[in-house]
Amino acid sequence: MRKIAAALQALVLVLVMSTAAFSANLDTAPGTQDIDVHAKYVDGVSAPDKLSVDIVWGAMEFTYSVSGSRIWDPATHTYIIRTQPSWAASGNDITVTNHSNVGITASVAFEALDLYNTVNGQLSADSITLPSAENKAVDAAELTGTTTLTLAGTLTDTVTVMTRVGSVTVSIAKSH
Amino acid sequence: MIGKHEEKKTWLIIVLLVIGIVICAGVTIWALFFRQNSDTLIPDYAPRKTEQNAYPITGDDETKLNAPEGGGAISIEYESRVTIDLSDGMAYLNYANPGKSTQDIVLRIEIKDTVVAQSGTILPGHQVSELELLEDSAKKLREGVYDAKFRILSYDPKTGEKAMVDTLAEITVTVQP
Repeated sequence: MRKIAAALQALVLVLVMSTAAFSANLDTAPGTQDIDVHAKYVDGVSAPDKLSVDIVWGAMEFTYSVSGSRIWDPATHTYIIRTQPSWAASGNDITVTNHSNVGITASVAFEALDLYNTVNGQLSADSITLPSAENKAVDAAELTGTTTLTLAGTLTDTVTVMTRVGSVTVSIAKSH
Repeated sequence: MIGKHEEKKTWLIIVLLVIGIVICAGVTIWALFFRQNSDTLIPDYAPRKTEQNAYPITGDDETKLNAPEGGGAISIEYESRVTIDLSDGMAYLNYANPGKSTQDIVLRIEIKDTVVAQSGTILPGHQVSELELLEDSAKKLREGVYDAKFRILSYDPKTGEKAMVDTLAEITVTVQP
């Protein structure tokens, strides 16, 4: 029994001593110690978001036309009006180009002046989302978007010269 | 006894009426002479005065954007972080109207639909890094961070007439004491 215990103790001693050998590399020269050196790259160059956006718009001129006929009604002594109104546009595109180092969303909205609140504006696209210009050519097509304004509704017949009836607002925000 | 009670009641009514009249008169006088209107209207024509804090953009010789006839084009360059220093009544920002713009612009800083700063005319090829706060704006602001916006108003440089297209840009304003 004692022999077995002594053998086990010897085995434990051998095993404990051998763990020290694992702490150093096998090719370490006698009397020297290698120490691992750790490193990592931290990007300390700040690049704040810089927004640079071009917005181009046309003349934004619209003509409201009414065609048709007025037919006299002898029974009521009034005209029966049969008309077909229509809007024609000139230069109604709004183009947005992103040169920022972040993606953007350009929301476009038309608002009529109070005096002309019978005029409604509709845009072919209410918002344009454009990617960041990072690593893209200055004239890359994907950095440009266009929306088109059309008017609807009615305009009073007293407005016979080009008159401001509303405005377009382009709202720029960073896209997420 | 009843007569004295009635007399006291009458005097109380008179005193209350007099107090009411004094309050109404005070409010009327304040409204007529002392109330300050905080609304800042958008000018239909560009201010004749160019922004005093604007300065040329170094090396800016860009050719104009190609705007359709009768239309316009602006280029906006800015950083979305703005700082307001209440101690000196200034807003510190980075905003440029590059030379490729075809429009003069007026820049407004709006916090919760309240205009706190409005520039004079900024010509193409010029930038601003500080703007004076509007009178009384500092009283409305407290230290903190606000979601805000630039409102960029465009004006035809020849006629001074306001363009049909306005631009808004989301910014973050940090107010310091």
